[in-house]
Amino acid sequence: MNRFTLWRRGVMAAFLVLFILQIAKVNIVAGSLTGSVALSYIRLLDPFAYLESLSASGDFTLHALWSVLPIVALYAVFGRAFCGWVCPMDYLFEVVERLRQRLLKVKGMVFRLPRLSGYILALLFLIITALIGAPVFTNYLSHLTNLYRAITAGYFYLLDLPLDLDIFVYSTGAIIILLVLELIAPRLWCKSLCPVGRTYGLFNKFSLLRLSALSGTCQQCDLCNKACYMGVNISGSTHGPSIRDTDCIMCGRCIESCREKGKTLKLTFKKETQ
Amino acid sequence: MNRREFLQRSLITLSSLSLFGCNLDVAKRDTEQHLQPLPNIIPTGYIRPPGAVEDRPFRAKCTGCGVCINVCHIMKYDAIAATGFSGGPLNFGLPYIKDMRDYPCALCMECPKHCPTGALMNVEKDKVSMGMALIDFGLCFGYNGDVCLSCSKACPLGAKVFDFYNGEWGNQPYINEACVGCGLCVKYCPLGGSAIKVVTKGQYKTIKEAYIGEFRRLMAMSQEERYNVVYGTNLPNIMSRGRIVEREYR
Repeated sequence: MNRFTLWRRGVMAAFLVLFILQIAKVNIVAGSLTGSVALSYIRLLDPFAYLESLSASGDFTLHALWSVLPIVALYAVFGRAFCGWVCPMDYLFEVVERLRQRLLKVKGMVFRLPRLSGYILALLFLIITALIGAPVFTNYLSHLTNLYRAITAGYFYLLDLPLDLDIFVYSTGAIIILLVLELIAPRLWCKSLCPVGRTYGLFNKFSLLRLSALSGTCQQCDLCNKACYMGVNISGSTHGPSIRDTDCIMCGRCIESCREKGKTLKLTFKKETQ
Repeated sequence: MNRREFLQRSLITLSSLSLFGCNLDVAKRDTEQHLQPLPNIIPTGYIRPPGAVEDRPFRAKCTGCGVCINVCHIMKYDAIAATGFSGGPLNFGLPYIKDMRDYPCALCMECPKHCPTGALMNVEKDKVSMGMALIDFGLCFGYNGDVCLSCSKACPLGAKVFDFYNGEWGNQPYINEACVGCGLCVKYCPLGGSAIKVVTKGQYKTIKEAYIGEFRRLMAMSQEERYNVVYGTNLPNIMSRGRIVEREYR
Protein backbone atom coordinates (compact mmCIF):
# COMPACT_ATOMS: atom_id res chain seq x y z
CA MET A 1 0.00 0.00 0.00
CA ASN A 2 2.88 2.31 0.65
CA ARG A 3 3.81 2.27 -2.95
CA PHE A 4 4.59 5.99 -3.13
CA THR A 5 6.92 5.77 -0.15
CA LEU A 6 8.64 2.74 -1.66
CA TRP A 7 9.15 4.47 -4.99
CA ARG A 8 10.30 7.59 -3.25
CA ARG A 9 12.90 5.72 -1.23
CA GLY A 10 14.04 4.00 -4.41
CA VAL A 11 14.52 7.23 -6.33
CA MET A 12 16.21 8.87 -3.35
CA ALA A 13 18.59 5.93 -2.91
CA ALA A 14 19.32 5.92 -6.64
CA PHE A 15 20.36 9.58 -6.53
CA LEU A 16 22.50 9.01 -3.46
CA VAL A 17 24.17 6.00 -5.06
CA LEU A 18 24.83 7.96 -8.27
CA PHE A 19 26.56 10.65 -6.24
CA ILE A 20 28.50 8.15 -4.16
CA LEU A 21 29.66 6.26 -7.28
CA GLN A 22 31.95 9.21 -8.02
CA ILE A 23 34.15 7.99 -5.19
CA ALA A 24 34.85 4.91 -7.32
CA LYS A 25 35.62 7.26 -10.23
CA VAL A 26 32.44 6.34 -12.11
CA ASN A 27 31.60 9.51 -13.95
CA ILE A 28 27.80 9.53 -14.19
CA VAL A 29 27.25 12.47 -11.88
CA ALA A 30 30.01 14.58 -10.33
CA GLY A 31 29.50 17.12 -7.59
CA SER A 32 26.63 17.49 -5.15
CA LEU A 33 22.96 18.37 -5.20
CA THR A 34 23.90 22.06 -5.01
CA GLY A 35 25.67 21.88 -8.33
CA SER A 36 26.71 18.93 -10.41
CA VAL A 37 27.64 17.70 -13.84
CA ALA A 38 25.73 14.82 -15.36
CA LEU A 39 27.53 12.56 -17.82
CA SER A 40 30.39 15.10 -17.83
CA TYR A 41 28.36 17.25 -20.19
CA ILE A 42 25.16 18.64 -18.62
CA ARG A 43 25.95 21.23 -15.97
CA LEU A 44 23.28 21.47 -13.28
CA LEU A 45 22.87 24.16 -10.63
CA ASP A 46 20.35 24.53 -7.84
CA PRO A 47 18.07 27.56 -8.50
CA PHE A 48 18.61 29.13 -5.08
CA ALA A 49 22.36 28.62 -5.38
CA TYR A 50 22.10 30.36 -8.75
CA LEU A 51 20.19 33.28 -7.22
CA GLU A 52 22.77 33.63 -4.44
CA SER A 53 25.67 33.40 -6.83
CA LEU A 54 24.00 36.01 -9.00
CA SER A 55 23.27 38.42 -6.16
CA ALA A 56 26.76 38.02 -4.68
CA SER A 57 28.64 38.64 -7.90
CA GLY A 58 26.13 40.97 -9.57
CA ASP A 59 27.36 39.47 -12.80
CA PHE A 60 24.87 37.79 -15.11
CA THR A 61 26.51 35.18 -17.31
CA LEU A 62 25.04 32.81 -19.85
CA HIS A 63 27.36 30.11 -18.49
CA ALA A 64 25.56 29.99 -15.15
CA LEU A 65 22.16 30.45 -16.78
CA TRP A 66 22.74 27.40 -18.95
CA SER A 67 23.49 25.33 -15.87
CA VAL A 68 20.32 26.40 -14.05
CA LEU A 69 17.95 26.03 -17.01
CA PRO A 70 17.84 22.19 -17.07
CA ILE A 71 16.86 22.20 -13.39
CA VAL A 72 14.19 24.85 -13.98
CA ALA A 73 12.82 22.80 -16.87
CA LEU A 74 12.85 19.62 -14.79
CA TYR A 75 10.93 21.11 -11.91
CA ALA A 76 8.56 23.04 -14.15
CA VAL A 77 7.37 19.53 -14.92
CA PHE A 78 7.64 17.97 -11.47
CA GLY A 79 6.95 20.92 -9.16
CA ARG A 80 8.49 20.69 -5.69
CA ALA A 81 9.16 16.98 -6.17
CA PHE A 82 12.82 17.68 -5.34
CA CYS A 83 12.05 17.82 -1.62
CA GLY A 84 10.09 14.59 -1.56
CA TRP A 85 11.93 12.51 -4.12
CA VAL A 86 15.57 13.66 -4.31
CA CYS A 87 16.65 15.51 -1.17
CA PRO A 88 18.36 12.95 1.11
CA MET A 89 17.45 14.96 4.20
CA ASP A 90 13.88 13.74 3.79
CA TYR A 91 14.99 10.21 4.58
CA LEU A 92 17.30 11.29 7.41
CA PHE A 93 14.47 13.30 8.94
CA GLU A 94 12.16 10.32 8.73
CA VAL A 95 14.72 8.13 10.50
CA VAL A 96 14.96 10.71 13.26
CA GLU A 97 11.20 10.86 13.46
CA ARG A 98 10.97 7.09 13.85
CA LEU A 99 13.69 7.18 16.50
CA ARG A 100 11.70 9.73 18.43
CA GLN A 101 8.50 7.72 18.20
CA ARG A 102 10.07 4.37 19.07
CA LEU A 103 12.68 5.29 21.64
CA LEU A 104 11.59 8.55 23.20
CA LYS A 105 7.88 7.98 22.66
CA VAL A 106 7.14 11.70 22.59
CA LYS A 107 5.55 13.82 19.94
CA GLY A 108 7.57 16.70 18.64
CA MET A 109 6.40 20.25 18.98
CA VAL A 110 4.26 20.85 15.94
CA PHE A 111 4.55 24.53 15.38
CA ARG A 112 5.09 26.42 12.21
CA LEU A 113 6.06 29.91 11.34
CA PRO A 114 3.86 31.84 8.93
CA ARG A 115 4.65 31.03 5.33
CA LEU A 116 5.75 34.59 4.64
CA SER A 117 8.63 34.19 7.10
CA GLY A 118 10.19 31.55 4.83
CA TYR A 119 10.19 33.96 1.92
CA ILE A 120 11.51 36.76 4.12
CA LEU A 121 14.34 34.49 5.30
CA ALA A 122 15.22 33.56 1.72
CA LEU A 123 15.20 37.23 0.74
CA LEU A 124 17.32 38.04 3.78
CA PHE A 125 19.89 35.48 2.67
CA LEU A 126 20.00 37.06 -0.79
CA ILE A 127 20.49 40.54 0.70
CA ILE A 128 23.23 39.44 3.13
CA THR A 129 24.84 37.59 0.25
CA ALA A 130 24.88 40.75 -1.86
CA LEU A 131 26.35 42.75 1.04
CA ILE A 132 29.09 40.27 1.96
CA GLY A 133 29.82 39.15 -1.58
CA ALA A 134 29.73 35.43 -0.89
CA PRO A 135 26.84 32.96 -1.11
CA VAL A 136 25.98 32.76 2.59
CA PHE A 137 23.34 30.05 2.66
CA THR A 138 24.69 27.81 -0.07
CA ASN A 139 28.29 27.88 1.06
CA TYR A 140 27.90 27.78 4.84
CA LEU A 141 24.44 26.60 5.92
CA SER A 142 22.93 24.55 3.11
CA HIS A 143 22.13 20.97 4.08
CA LEU A 144 22.84 19.85 0.49
CA THR A 145 26.30 21.39 0.32
CA ASN A 146 27.21 20.26 3.83
CA LEU A 147 25.99 16.69 3.43
CA TYR A 148 27.92 16.06 0.23
CA ARG A 149 30.90 17.99 1.52
CA ALA A 150 30.95 15.73 4.55
CA ILE A 151 30.79 12.64 2.33
CA THR A 152 33.57 13.94 0.06
CA ALA A 153 35.78 14.95 2.98
CA GLY A 154 35.08 11.61 4.63
CA TYR A 155 36.31 9.54 1.76
CA PHE A 156 39.23 11.86 1.08
CA TYR A 157 40.22 11.26 4.68
CA LEU A 158 39.83 7.49 4.35
CA LEU A 159 41.85 7.40 1.13
CA ASP A 160 44.54 9.67 2.65
CA LEU A 161 44.12 12.38 0.01
CA PRO A 162 44.75 16.08 0.69
CA LEU A 163 41.91 17.78 2.55
CA ASP A 164 41.25 20.23 5.36
CA LEU A 165 39.77 18.20 8.17
CA ASP A 166 37.86 21.18 9.63
CA ILE A 167 35.61 21.03 6.55
CA PHE A 168 34.54 17.53 7.57
CA VAL A 169 33.99 18.53 11.18
CA TYR A 170 32.00 21.63 10.26
CA SER A 171 29.78 19.91 7.68
CA THR A 172 29.03 16.90 9.86
CA GLY A 173 28.24 19.27 12.71
CA ALA A 174 25.86 21.27 10.54
CA ILE A 175 23.99 18.11 9.52
CA ILE A 176 23.80 16.91 13.13
CA ILE A 177 22.40 20.28 14.22
CA LEU A 178 19.67 19.92 11.58
CA LEU A 179 18.86 16.43 12.83
CA VAL A 180 18.62 17.71 16.40
CA LEU A 181 16.34 20.47 15.17
CA GLU A 182 14.20 17.77 13.59
CA LEU A 183 14.10 15.95 16.92
CA ILE A 184 12.71 19.05 18.62
CA ALA A 185 10.50 20.49 15.92
CA PRO A 186 9.54 18.02 13.16
CA ARG A 187 9.92 19.37 9.63
CA LEU A 188 10.37 22.96 10.79
CA TRP A 189 13.38 23.13 8.46
CA CYS A 190 11.46 21.88 5.42
CA LYS A 191 8.29 23.80 6.16
CA SER A 192 9.55 27.22 7.09
CA LEU A 193 13.30 27.67 7.04
CA CYS A 194 14.91 26.01 4.02
CA PRO A 195 15.16 28.58 1.20
CA VAL A 196 15.97 25.88 -1.35
CA GLY A 197 12.58 24.29 -0.73
CA ARG A 198 10.92 27.71 -0.84
CA THR A 199 12.36 28.29 -4.28
CA TYR A 200 11.23 24.90 -5.53
CA GLY A 201 7.81 25.58 -3.98
CA LEU A 202 7.25 28.40 -6.45
CA PHE A 203 7.37 25.80 -9.23
CA ASN A 204 4.25 24.19 -7.75
CA LYS A 205 2.19 27.12 -9.01
CA PHE A 206 2.63 26.18 -12.65
CA SER A 207 4.07 22.67 -12.67
CA LEU A 208 2.61 19.94 -14.88
CA LEU A 209 2.65 17.37 -12.08
CA ARG A 210 0.26 18.31 -9.29
CA LEU A 211 -1.97 16.94 -6.60
CA SER A 212 -5.51 16.87 -7.88
CA ALA A 213 -8.72 16.18 -5.99
CA LEU A 214 -11.96 14.88 -7.38
CA SER A 215 -14.58 17.13 -5.84
CA GLY A 216 -17.54 15.54 -4.12
CA THR A 217 -15.82 12.31 -3.13
CA CYS A 218 -13.94 13.60 -0.09
CA GLN A 219 -15.53 12.69 3.23
CA GLN A 220 -13.51 15.18 5.27
CA CYS A 221 -11.99 12.51 7.51
CA ASP A 222 -8.77 14.54 7.83
CA LEU A 223 -6.55 11.47 7.50
CA CYS A 224 -4.58 13.15 4.72
CA ASN A 225 -3.93 16.25 6.80
CA LYS A 226 -2.57 14.08 9.57
CA ALA A 227 -0.36 12.13 7.18
CA CYS A 228 1.03 15.23 5.47
CA TYR A 229 4.15 16.29 7.27
CA MET A 230 4.38 19.50 5.37
CA GLY A 231 1.15 20.69 6.94
CA VAL A 232 -0.79 21.29 3.74
CA ASN A 233 -4.51 21.72 4.28
CA ILE A 234 -5.58 19.02 1.81
CA SER A 235 -9.08 18.12 2.97
CA GLY A 236 -9.94 21.78 3.11
CA SER A 237 -9.10 22.29 -0.57
CA THR A 238 -10.62 19.20 -2.19
CA HIS A 239 -13.36 21.25 -3.81
CA GLY A 240 -10.95 22.74 -6.33
CA PRO A 241 -9.58 20.86 -9.32
CA SER A 242 -6.01 20.79 -8.04
CA ILE A 243 -4.13 21.63 -4.88
CA ARG A 244 -1.36 23.99 -5.84
CA ASP A 245 0.08 24.60 -2.42
CA THR A 246 3.72 25.75 -2.38
CA ASP A 247 4.35 23.42 0.57
CA CYS A 248 3.32 20.24 -1.24
CA ILE A 249 6.38 18.08 -1.95
CA MET A 250 4.56 15.51 -4.14
CA CYS A 251 5.39 12.72 -1.70
CA GLY A 252 2.00 11.00 -2.03
CA ARG A 253 1.52 10.26 1.65
CA CYS A 254 -1.93 11.81 1.53
CA ILE A 255 -2.90 9.44 -1.29
CA GLU A 256 -1.61 6.48 0.70
CA SER A 257 -3.60 7.49 3.73
CA CYS A 258 -6.81 8.34 1.89
CA ARG A 259 -9.81 6.14 2.61
CA GLU A 260 -11.03 6.46 -0.96
CA LYS A 261 -7.91 4.76 -2.30
CA GLY A 262 -6.77 6.49 -5.43
CA LYS A 263 -10.18 7.98 -6.09
CA THR A 264 -10.19 11.36 -4.47
CA LEU A 265 -6.55 12.36 -4.48
CA LYS A 266 -4.17 11.79 -7.36
CA LEU A 267 -0.76 12.93 -8.54
CA THR A 268 -1.43 13.64 -12.17
CA PHE A 269 -0.07 15.25 -15.29
CA LYS A 270 -3.51 15.52 -16.90
CA LYS A 271 -5.03 18.81 -17.86
CA GLU A 272 -7.23 20.51 -15.35
CA THR A 273 -10.88 19.90 -16.06
CA GLN A 274 -13.79 22.00 -14.73
CA MET B 1 47.67 -18.47 29.20
CA ASN B 2 44.32 -17.67 30.69
CA ARG B 3 41.86 -15.17 29.40
CA ARG B 4 42.92 -12.28 31.56
CA GLU B 5 46.52 -12.69 30.51
CA PHE B 6 45.56 -12.90 26.87
CA LEU B 7 43.50 -9.72 27.07
CA GLN B 8 46.29 -7.87 28.84
CA ARG B 9 48.88 -8.90 26.29
CA SER B 10 46.74 -8.06 23.30
CA LEU B 11 45.93 -4.67 24.81
CA ILE B 12 49.62 -3.92 25.34
CA THR B 13 50.48 -5.04 21.83
CA LEU B 14 47.73 -2.97 20.28
CA SER B 15 48.55 0.16 22.25
CA SER B 16 52.26 -0.11 21.50
CA LEU B 17 51.47 -0.63 17.82
CA SER B 18 49.26 2.43 17.73
CA LEU B 19 51.89 4.47 19.59
CA PHE B 20 54.54 3.32 17.16
CA GLY B 21 52.35 4.30 14.22
CA CYS B 22 51.73 7.74 15.69
CA ASN B 23 55.44 8.28 16.19
CA LEU B 24 56.22 7.39 12.60
CA ASP B 25 53.62 9.85 11.43
CA VAL B 26 54.96 12.65 13.60
CA ALA B 27 58.51 12.02 12.43
CA LYS B 28 57.47 12.19 8.78
CA ARG B 29 55.55 15.44 9.28
CA ASP B 30 58.53 16.98 11.07
CA THR B 31 60.96 16.32 8.25
CA GLU B 32 58.40 17.62 5.75
CA GLN B 33 58.25 20.91 7.62
CA HIS B 34 61.98 21.33 7.69
CA LEU B 35 62.16 20.70 3.98
CA GLN B 36 60.60 23.94 2.76
CA PRO B 37 62.39 25.49 -0.22
CA LEU B 38 62.78 29.28 -0.02
CA PRO B 39 61.97 29.29 3.72
CA ASN B 40 61.91 33.08 3.96
CA ILE B 41 58.99 33.36 1.53
CA ILE B 42 55.86 32.49 3.48
CA PRO B 43 52.99 31.77 1.07
CA THR B 44 49.96 34.04 1.43
CA GLY B 45 46.65 33.54 -0.32
CA TYR B 46 45.35 30.39 -1.92
CA ILE B 47 46.24 28.77 -5.21
CA ARG B 48 42.86 28.31 -6.88
CA PRO B 49 42.07 25.68 -9.52
CA PRO B 50 42.93 26.58 -13.13
CA GLY B 51 40.73 29.15 -14.84
CA ALA B 52 39.60 30.76 -11.57
CA VAL B 53 38.38 34.32 -12.00
CA GLU B 54 39.74 37.16 -9.83
CA ASP B 55 39.64 36.77 -6.06
CA ARG B 56 36.46 38.75 -5.27
CA PRO B 57 34.26 37.44 -8.09
CA PHE B 58 35.52 33.95 -7.35
CA ARG B 59 34.36 34.20 -3.77
CA ALA B 60 31.01 35.56 -4.94
CA LYS B 61 30.39 33.00 -7.65
CA CYS B 62 31.63 29.79 -6.08
CA THR B 63 28.84 28.02 -4.24
CA GLY B 64 31.06 25.30 -2.79
CA CYS B 65 29.20 22.58 -4.67
CA GLY B 66 32.31 20.40 -4.97
CA VAL B 67 32.14 19.65 -8.69
CA CYS B 68 35.80 20.56 -9.26
CA ILE B 69 36.94 18.47 -6.28
CA ASN B 70 35.07 15.41 -7.48
CA VAL B 71 35.98 15.86 -11.15
CA CYS B 72 39.63 16.08 -10.10
CA HIS B 73 39.15 12.89 -8.09
CA ILE B 74 37.53 11.16 -11.09
CA MET B 75 40.47 12.26 -13.26
CA LYS B 76 42.72 10.61 -10.62
CA TYR B 77 44.70 13.75 -9.80
CA ASP B 78 43.07 14.56 -6.43
CA ALA B 79 44.71 17.98 -6.44
CA ILE B 80 41.81 20.11 -5.22
CA ALA B 81 40.67 20.37 -1.62
CA ALA B 82 38.17 22.65 0.11
CA THR B 83 39.57 25.42 2.32
CA GLY B 84 39.00 25.04 6.05
CA PHE B 85 38.84 27.76 8.66
CA SER B 86 42.48 28.75 8.19
CA GLY B 87 41.64 31.31 5.51
CA GLY B 88 38.98 33.14 7.49
CA PRO B 89 35.23 32.91 6.95
CA LEU B 90 35.25 34.36 3.43
CA ASN B 91 37.53 31.65 2.07
CA PHE B 92 35.71 28.83 3.84
CA GLY B 93 34.66 25.95 1.60
CA LEU B 94 36.27 27.28 -1.56
CA PRO B 95 38.50 24.96 -3.58
CA TYR B 96 42.28 25.31 -3.64
CA ILE B 97 45.30 23.23 -4.56
CA LYS B 98 46.51 22.01 -1.21
CA ASP B 99 49.46 19.71 -1.55
CA MET B 100 51.53 20.43 -4.65
CA ARG B 101 54.37 18.22 -3.53
CA ASP B 102 52.26 15.08 -3.82
CA TYR B 103 49.12 16.10 -5.70
CA PRO B 104 49.86 18.85 -8.25
CA CYS B 105 47.40 20.15 -10.80
CA ALA B 106 48.01 18.43 -14.14
CA LEU B 107 46.32 21.17 -16.21
CA CYS B 108 43.88 18.66 -17.68
CA MET B 109 41.41 21.57 -17.75
CA GLU B 110 38.43 19.43 -16.81
CA CYS B 111 37.32 21.42 -13.76
CA PRO B 112 36.76 24.75 -15.58
CA LYS B 113 34.81 22.89 -18.23
CA HIS B 114 32.57 21.39 -15.58
CA CYS B 115 32.11 24.30 -13.13
CA PRO B 116 28.38 25.11 -13.16
CA THR B 117 28.61 28.60 -11.66
CA GLY B 118 31.25 30.20 -13.84
CA ALA B 119 33.69 30.68 -10.94
CA LEU B 120 36.16 28.73 -13.07
CA MET B 121 36.19 29.89 -16.68
CA ASN B 122 37.35 27.72 -19.52
CA VAL B 123 40.60 29.22 -20.81
CA GLU B 124 43.56 27.99 -22.79
CA LYS B 125 46.18 26.02 -20.88
CA ASP B 126 48.85 28.68 -21.23
CA LYS B 127 46.50 31.53 -20.19
CA VAL B 128 45.86 30.00 -16.78
CA SER B 129 47.23 32.02 -13.87
CA MET B 130 47.13 29.92 -10.75
CA GLY B 131 50.48 31.00 -9.43
CA MET B 132 54.16 31.27 -10.10
CA ALA B 133 56.81 28.63 -9.47
CA LEU B 134 60.03 29.86 -7.86
CA ILE B 135 63.24 27.85 -7.84
CA ASP B 136 65.38 27.87 -4.72
CA PHE B 137 68.79 28.52 -6.30
CA GLY B 138 70.56 27.23 -3.22
CA LEU B 139 68.93 23.81 -3.50
CA CYS B 140 68.42 23.24 -7.24
CA PHE B 141 70.82 20.62 -8.67
CA GLY B 142 71.09 22.65 -11.88
CA TYR B 143 72.61 25.61 -10.05
CA ASN B 144 75.04 23.49 -8.10
CA GLY B 145 77.09 21.60 -10.62
CA ASP B 146 74.62 19.12 -12.05
CA VAL B 147 72.43 18.60 -15.11
CA CYS B 148 69.00 17.59 -13.91
CA LEU B 149 66.23 19.19 -16.01
CA SER B 150 63.50 17.24 -14.20
CA CYS B 151 61.34 20.35 -13.76
CA SER B 152 61.45 21.30 -17.42
CA LYS B 153 60.61 17.76 -18.44
CA ALA B 154 57.60 17.71 -16.13
CA CYS B 155 56.33 21.14 -17.23
CA PRO B 156 53.22 20.90 -19.43
CA LEU B 157 54.19 24.14 -21.18
CA GLY B 158 57.85 23.25 -21.65
CA ALA B 159 60.07 25.61 -23.60
CA LYS B 160 57.64 28.49 -23.20
CA VAL B 161 58.29 28.67 -19.50
CA PHE B 162 61.88 27.59 -19.07
CA ASP B 163 65.00 29.61 -19.86
CA PHE B 164 68.32 27.79 -19.54
CA TYR B 165 71.54 29.45 -18.55
CA ASN B 166 74.02 26.71 -19.32
CA GLY B 167 77.38 27.22 -17.73
CA GLU B 168 80.17 25.79 -15.72
CA TRP B 169 77.94 25.45 -12.68
CA GLY B 170 75.35 23.29 -14.33
CA ASN B 171 72.37 23.50 -16.59
CA GLN B 172 70.71 26.36 -14.78
CA PRO B 173 66.93 26.50 -15.34
CA TYR B 174 65.03 29.74 -14.82
CA ILE B 175 61.22 29.83 -14.74
CA ASN B 176 59.96 32.97 -16.44
CA GLU B 177 56.64 34.74 -16.02
CA ALA B 178 54.80 32.55 -18.54
CA CYS B 179 54.57 30.00 -15.71
CA VAL B 180 50.96 29.21 -14.82
CA GLY B 181 51.69 27.67 -11.42
CA CYS B 182 50.34 24.16 -11.87
CA GLY B 183 53.01 22.67 -9.61
CA LEU B 184 53.98 19.62 -11.66
CA CYS B 185 57.63 20.65 -11.38
CA VAL B 186 57.27 20.74 -7.60
CA LYS B 187 56.31 17.08 -7.58
CA TYR B 188 58.95 15.89 -10.02
CA CYS B 189 61.89 17.72 -8.47
CA PRO B 190 64.12 14.87 -7.25
CA LEU B 191 65.41 16.80 -4.25
CA GLY B 192 64.02 15.77 -0.89
CA GLY B 193 61.16 18.17 -0.18
CA SER B 194 61.48 19.76 -3.63
CA ALA B 195 63.53 22.83 -4.55
CA ILE B 196 60.53 24.64 -6.06
CA LYS B 197 57.79 26.58 -4.36
CA VAL B 198 54.63 27.94 -5.94
CA VAL B 199 53.24 31.28 -4.77
CA THR B 200 50.19 33.16 -6.03
CA LYS B 201 50.62 35.72 -8.80
CA GLY B 202 49.68 38.46 -6.34
CA GLN B 203 52.43 37.49 -3.95
CA TYR B 204 54.92 37.14 -6.77
CA LYS B 205 54.47 40.82 -7.62
CA THR B 206 55.59 41.78 -4.11
CA ILE B 207 58.70 39.57 -4.06
CA LYS B 208 59.60 39.82 -7.75
CA GLU B 209 62.37 42.41 -7.27
CA ALA B 210 64.15 40.47 -4.56
CA TYR B 211 63.87 37.18 -6.43
CA ILE B 212 65.21 38.50 -9.73
CA GLY B 213 67.91 40.42 -7.83
CA GLU B 214 69.05 37.17 -6.23
CA PHE B 215 69.22 35.49 -9.65
CA ARG B 216 71.24 38.37 -11.16
CA ARG B 217 73.61 38.34 -8.20
CA LEU B 218 74.21 34.63 -8.73
CA MET B 219 74.83 35.08 -12.45
CA ALA B 220 77.27 37.93 -11.93
CA MET B 221 79.35 36.10 -9.33
CA SER B 222 83.00 35.45 -9.96
CA GLN B 223 84.37 31.91 -10.14
CA GLU B 224 85.74 31.87 -6.60
CA GLU B 225 82.68 33.39 -5.00
CA ARG B 226 80.44 30.88 -6.71
CA TYR B 227 82.77 28.05 -5.70
CA ASN B 228 82.46 29.10 -2.07
CA VAL B 229 78.68 29.36 -2.27
CA VAL B 230 78.24 25.98 -3.97
CA TYR B 231 80.73 23.96 -1.97
CA GLY B 232 80.50 25.92 1.27
CA THR B 233 76.76 26.08 1.90
CA ASN B 234 74.63 24.67 -0.91
CA LEU B 235 76.04 21.18 -1.41
CA PRO B 236 76.00 20.23 2.30
CA ASN B 237 72.35 21.35 2.39
CA ILE B 238 71.50 19.28 -0.67
CA MET B 239 73.40 16.27 0.63
CA SER B 240 71.56 16.35 3.96
CA ARG B 241 68.26 16.40 2.10
CA GLY B 242 69.43 13.61 -0.14
CA ARG B 243 69.99 11.43 2.87
CA ILE B 244 66.47 12.15 4.08
CA VAL B 245 65.11 11.16 0.69
CA GLU B 246 66.94 7.84 0.90
CA ARG B 247 65.52 7.19 4.32
CA GLU B 248 62.00 7.97 3.09
CA TYR B 249 62.29 5.60 0.17
CA ARG B 250 63.62 2.78 2.26
